[in-house]
Amino acid sequence: MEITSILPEECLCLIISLTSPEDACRSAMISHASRSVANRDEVWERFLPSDCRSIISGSSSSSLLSLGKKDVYFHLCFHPILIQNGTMSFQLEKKSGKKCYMMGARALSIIQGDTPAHWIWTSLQESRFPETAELKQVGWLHMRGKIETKILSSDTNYAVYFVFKLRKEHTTGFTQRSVGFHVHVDKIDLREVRMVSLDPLRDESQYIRERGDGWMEIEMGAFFNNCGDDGSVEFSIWEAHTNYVKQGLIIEGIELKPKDIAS
Amino acid sequence: MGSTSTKIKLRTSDQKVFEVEKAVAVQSQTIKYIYENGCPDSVIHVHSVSGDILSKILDYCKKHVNSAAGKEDISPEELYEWDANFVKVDQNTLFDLILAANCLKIESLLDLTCQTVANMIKGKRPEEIRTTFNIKNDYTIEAEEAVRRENKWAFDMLGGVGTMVIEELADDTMSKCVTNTKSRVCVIAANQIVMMRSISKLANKKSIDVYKQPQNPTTPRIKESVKQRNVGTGFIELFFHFKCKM
Repeated sequence: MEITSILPEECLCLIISLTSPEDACRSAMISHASRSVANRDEVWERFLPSDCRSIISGSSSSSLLSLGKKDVYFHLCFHPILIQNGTMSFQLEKKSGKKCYMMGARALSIIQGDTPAHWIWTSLQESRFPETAELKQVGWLHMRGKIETKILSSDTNYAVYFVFKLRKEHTTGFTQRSVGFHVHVDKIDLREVRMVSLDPLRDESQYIRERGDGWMEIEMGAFFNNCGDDGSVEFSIWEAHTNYVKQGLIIEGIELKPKDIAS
Repeated sequence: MGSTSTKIKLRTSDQKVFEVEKAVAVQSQTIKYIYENGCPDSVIHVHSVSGDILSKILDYCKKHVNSAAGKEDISPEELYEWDANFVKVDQNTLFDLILAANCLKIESLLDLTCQTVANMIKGKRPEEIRTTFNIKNDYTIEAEEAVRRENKWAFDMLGGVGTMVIEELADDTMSKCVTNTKSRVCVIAANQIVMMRSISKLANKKSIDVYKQPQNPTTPRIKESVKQRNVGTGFIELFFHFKCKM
């Protein structure tokens, strides 16, 4: 007699749900009985965020609701879904099940963003959003956004990332010049300012990372989200030396995801 | 007769009778329900729990009731430690406690005991878990590989510096590996020759993809193919410890 015959399935589900998504997948390998427990909805429901159902129903992928919970979990880990009329995306971080949000360019306030002489809105295949903002020419680069801490996962260290790329040709104003990044959470008195170049010299490139999905990212700042009652997180990006004309920046958006522990 | 607290009588599966304070007994939602919906003076039968286990459970309930009511001067950290010691029992007793907590509906005890078992599973490989709980592997090699593929992301290498796990895969999985899984095998930049010799010593006629991790972790990983040799089906895990050139 061993554990899977001694304990009822509801207890086994509780035990697996107290491990982690990774452990739940590994425990499927133990025996046929453990696999049946490890794949149960009762287990994966606990790994999904509690408001998952309402997020999915308000998204453009509401058909996910018909899938088993484990399939929903993995779908959300590897495929961001569009919410808020295609201006934001939502996905999960696979190891922890924590929520990741990306605000697309349309969800940000871009100064002069509606002026075609300065910014054009295009559809790019590599973008997850229906529209990305492409910089034609601007002297004063300034964009802002904010997000409520209450929609984020509680008890989590979040980092804010600027997701972008630079056009190969006709890009000016960014080489070896710094852009200002600002993250501000009023209620916890957090104010982070960083000056980073989007097109730096080789040995200054430690702040920019290739994401692996065709875009680059820069960490703008980080904060700890306690219970989500810290109001809103505001972020802004600026480069206001109007003497230097800037061209060629393509914005995918600003992403909030749990701060990497390992890498 | 003049007692300040109500007592409830409980009879176990092995006919032992316990007289307990109501406040302690009703930590069990099951007992609470029976008491409130039945005759308050009669003895409540807890058929599925033995005397030994009930005795332990009552200790737990008493400790928690007293600490919450301030009757016992115990800090949250001390209570946490008391709980940790409470579950330091052999596996069979632990399972009996889980069964009883489930049947008696004592949520905090069920969470505590299940978390204890969960901690024995976390971070362990399937073979280790089988040994811990004496579970028989009832998979065929093919079925095991199918389940492994089904859950492949959970088997990515998690080793620290100097440790590496290589999975040897059947032909078709290998090609899938190369083309679309970014999170597959990761190798520390070590003396490749040493490593290759180790592989060839232990695993003849198998082919492997080796990824070199550059010193700067933000630059993309470079794939370096090893000489292709015939691949067999099935798989083994290989563990290497070697010096890492930083």
